[in-house]
Amino acid sequence: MSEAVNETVYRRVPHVERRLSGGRRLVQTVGSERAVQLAGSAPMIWDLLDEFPRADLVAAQLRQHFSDPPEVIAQGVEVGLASLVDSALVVVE
Amino acid sequence: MSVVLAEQLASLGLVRATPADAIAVPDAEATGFVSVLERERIIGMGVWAVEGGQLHLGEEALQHLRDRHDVAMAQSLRIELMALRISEAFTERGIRHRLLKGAALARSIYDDPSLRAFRDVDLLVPSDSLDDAVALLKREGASRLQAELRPGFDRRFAKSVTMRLNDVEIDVHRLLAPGPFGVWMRANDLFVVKEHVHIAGTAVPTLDVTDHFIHACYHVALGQKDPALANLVDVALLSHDRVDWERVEQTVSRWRGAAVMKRCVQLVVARLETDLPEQLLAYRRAPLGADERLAIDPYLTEDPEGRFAALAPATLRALPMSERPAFARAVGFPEGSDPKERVFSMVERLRSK
Repeated sequence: MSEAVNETVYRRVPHVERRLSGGRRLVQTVGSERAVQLAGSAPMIWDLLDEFPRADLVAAQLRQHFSDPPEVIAQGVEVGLASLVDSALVVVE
Repeated sequence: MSVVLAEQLASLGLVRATPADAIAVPDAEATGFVSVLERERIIGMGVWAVEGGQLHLGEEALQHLRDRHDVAMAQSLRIELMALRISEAFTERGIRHRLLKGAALARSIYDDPSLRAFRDVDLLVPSDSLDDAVALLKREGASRLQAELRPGFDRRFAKSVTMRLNDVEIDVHRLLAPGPFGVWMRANDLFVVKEHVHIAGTAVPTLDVTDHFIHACYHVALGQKDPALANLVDVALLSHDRVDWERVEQTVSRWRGAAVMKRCVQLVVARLETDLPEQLLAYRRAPLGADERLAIDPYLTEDPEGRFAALAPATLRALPMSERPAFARAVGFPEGSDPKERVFSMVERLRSK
C-alpha cells in the first residue's frame, strides 16, 4: 500500500532577508514589525520552498544531501514547515 | 592598529582573497577592531572573512562581531522595507524617485547584501517634487528632524530633507551634495537613466551603475572629512562594474566636479590596497589647484554646526546673483525665530566662518 502524499502547497510571504553567520538567516515579511531568525535546518527548508512548494518535494531534495532515514527527514520537514507557518513567513494555499 | 587591520580587511574583500591572505587580530586588539569595523560599516566583511577563513578572531571578539552583525542586518531589513513602502507611495502619487546609496548598492554591487549594512533610506526626487514628497511622508506619519528655514527654501536650496518614521531615518534628496558642488550639479541628469533593485519582489527605481559611481565619489569626497571604509569600498566596487567612463567625464565636467573626483581617488588610494581603473586614476595625476582646495575646504569641517556655517557663505558665492538674497535671508533670518535670536544666529554664523 502506497503512503498518501500530503499535497499541501506552501508559499513564502513577500519578504526581505539576510544571511547571518553560522548558516542562520534573518527574514522579515512586508508589513511586519520584526524579523524572524532561522537556524538549524530551517534556512535550507526556507530556500527549497521557493522552488519546491510541497513537504514531500522538499523532503526529496533533502534526502539527496542527508543520509538520515527518509521518515526522519520527512518529520523534520513537517516540523520546520509548521514553524515557518507559525512565524507567518509561509502561508498554506 | 585596528584601523590598519580594518583597511586590510576592506581591501581583502576587493581582491577575492583566500585563507592564505588571512588576517590575524591579536586578542588585545580584538574588541577595538570589532568597534572599528562597526564604525567603518564593514562588519559584514568581517563576518564573511571569518567564515571564509580569512580573518582570525578570539572567541569572545568573534561572538561580539556576530552579535553586532545581527543587529546591523536587522536594521538593514527595517530600512529596506521602509524604502519599499516609500517607493510604492511615491509611485502611487506620481513622484519620480531613485533609491540611493547603501539600500540600493547592497543589492546591486555586493556579492551578498549582508556584506553592506546601511543606516537610513536615501531617495532622490526632482526639486519640484520635494515639497510633495515631504508632505506625503508627513501624512504617512514621518516627522522632520529640522524645520524648513523659510517656505520654499528646501526645493530651492537644500541638499535634502531628513525625516524619521518608525525609528527609521529618511533622507529625501534633491541634490547629491550641499554647498557649491550641490549648486553646480545638475540633478535632473540623474533621472535620464533608470535601473531597478528588487525589494521583496517589487522593482524599486534606482540609478544606473555610472550614476551610482558618480554619487559614491561625491559622497566620499564631500560627505565628511574622513569617510567610512564602506563608502570607499563602494567606489572601488562600482569602478570595476559597467561604468560608462565617457558619461562620467561629461557629467563631471558639466557639474564642475573635477576636484571631487580628485579628492575621492586620493582617499580611496590612501586607504585601500586595490587596483583601480585607469580612467579613475587619471583624476589623480593633476593635483588639486588653489581654487579647487578652496571649494573643497568647507566640506572638511567635522561638526555639523561648523560645517553648515562653513558651507553657507561658499554656497552663497556659488549661487547665481538672482538667488543670493533669498538664500541669505533664509539662512540669516530663519522664519519663526525671535528677531533678537535671528541677529544673534547670523552673527554667530558669520563669526564661525
